[in-house]
Amino acid sequence: MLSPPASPHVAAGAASSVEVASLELELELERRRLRPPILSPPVSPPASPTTSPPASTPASPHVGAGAASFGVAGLSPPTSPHVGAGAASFEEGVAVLSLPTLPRVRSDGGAGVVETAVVQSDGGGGVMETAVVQSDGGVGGVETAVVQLGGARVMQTAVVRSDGGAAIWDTARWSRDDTGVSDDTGEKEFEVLGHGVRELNAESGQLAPAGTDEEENEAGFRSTQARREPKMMEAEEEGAAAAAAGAGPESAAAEEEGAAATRLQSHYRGHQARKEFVAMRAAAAPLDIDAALDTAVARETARMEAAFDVHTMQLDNDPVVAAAAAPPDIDAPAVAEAPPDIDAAVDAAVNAATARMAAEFDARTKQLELQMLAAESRAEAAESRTAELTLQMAPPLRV
Amino acid sequence: MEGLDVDAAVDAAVARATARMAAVFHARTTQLELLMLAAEERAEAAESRAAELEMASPIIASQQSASQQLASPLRC
Repeated sequence: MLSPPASPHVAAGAASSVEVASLELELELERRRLRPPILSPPVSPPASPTTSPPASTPASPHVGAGAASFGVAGLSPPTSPHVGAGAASFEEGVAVLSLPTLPRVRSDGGAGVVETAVVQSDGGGGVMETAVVQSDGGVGGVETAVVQLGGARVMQTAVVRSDGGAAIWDTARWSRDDTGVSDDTGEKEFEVLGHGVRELNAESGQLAPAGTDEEENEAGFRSTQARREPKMMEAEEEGAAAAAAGAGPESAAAEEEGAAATRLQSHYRGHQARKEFVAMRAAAAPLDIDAALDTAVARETARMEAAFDVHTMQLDNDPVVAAAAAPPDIDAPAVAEAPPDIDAAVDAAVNAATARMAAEFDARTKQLELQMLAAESRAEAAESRTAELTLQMAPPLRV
Repeated sequence: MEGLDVDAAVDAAVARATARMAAVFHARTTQLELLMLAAEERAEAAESRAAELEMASPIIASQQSASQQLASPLRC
């Protein structure tokens, strides 16, 4: 499942010697000093080198960094006609980056999953750049995110190192140099294993299109040669002078220097031949930027689709997701939710109302009964008194 | 098919039950009130008769005393 690096120049940078890369970066830094970027570099909070990302965090911090950088840079969606399919890819790339469920770079069973984010800028020459994130899942796996802001004409490289088989994310830092030293803390937070540096045309201010390995090597070697050549010529002249003087064993050191100079010169000639070959090939088949962009877009789109397929497959196999995505059981709610018991509700309401009414009438009834009893008692008392008086007033019996 | 309006059904049932109960209690209270009025009238009539007898009792008592003296038997 591991895919090779998408950007050849990145791979070439990684394969280049440290010295070449260093000199190349120096040239780049010099250009930047002469022409500072218009846009501020993206601010990406450095991740702790010992902190692994939580599983729920949005995918790939480096991918997010690419998106953040694009957003910070404030680059508008590509409008140049050359972008073509790149515009769609750009939109798709942004959508992908915004998805929190994008499968982050991690290894599963030693097999790495490649995620790709396409960041496109229309600034300058309308350069299409890709952010290639790669994890091999093995020890020392390197993840590299190369984001180029064409509008600012700044090449920035974030090298992310994956540590161990767990592919623990170490850090994602934007760096302007090759030292891996943070601009903020001064601490070395990541290891730079390669560079994807491309030429910046001083006259046009445009970035050259992505080159091949040979071109990248040539660019690096040319920078190196600019420093080595004076020394080589000097050593060669010294060796020639020593040979002409017919010096004896005491000139062994000079001969060694001459041999070294010869080796360097041979190497230089070899490089020159390779350079001529590259130039010839470039002259024979000039780079079709549109075609290259279309190819890059198609390639990165395919990578994104592959990443989505992987992620979709993971989601399909996730029981939790499957349960959440299961269609609702229409019958189940009907069974579970019992219909309202209208009779019970009516009975309860009637009972409540009649109980209240019964209490009121019962009180009234008791009151009336008491009044009636009082009246009857009063009547009986009066009648008793009447009977007594009647007896008293009756004429005495005669014997 | 419209759903059953439970609230309306409950209200109707409650109204019926309370109306029936109100009728029953109204009849009962009316009966009690009539009984109470009858008892009061009876009490008033008895009291009136008693008062009348009490007023007439001294006169009757004196008449009875005079009658006894007149009708006393001759002593030999």
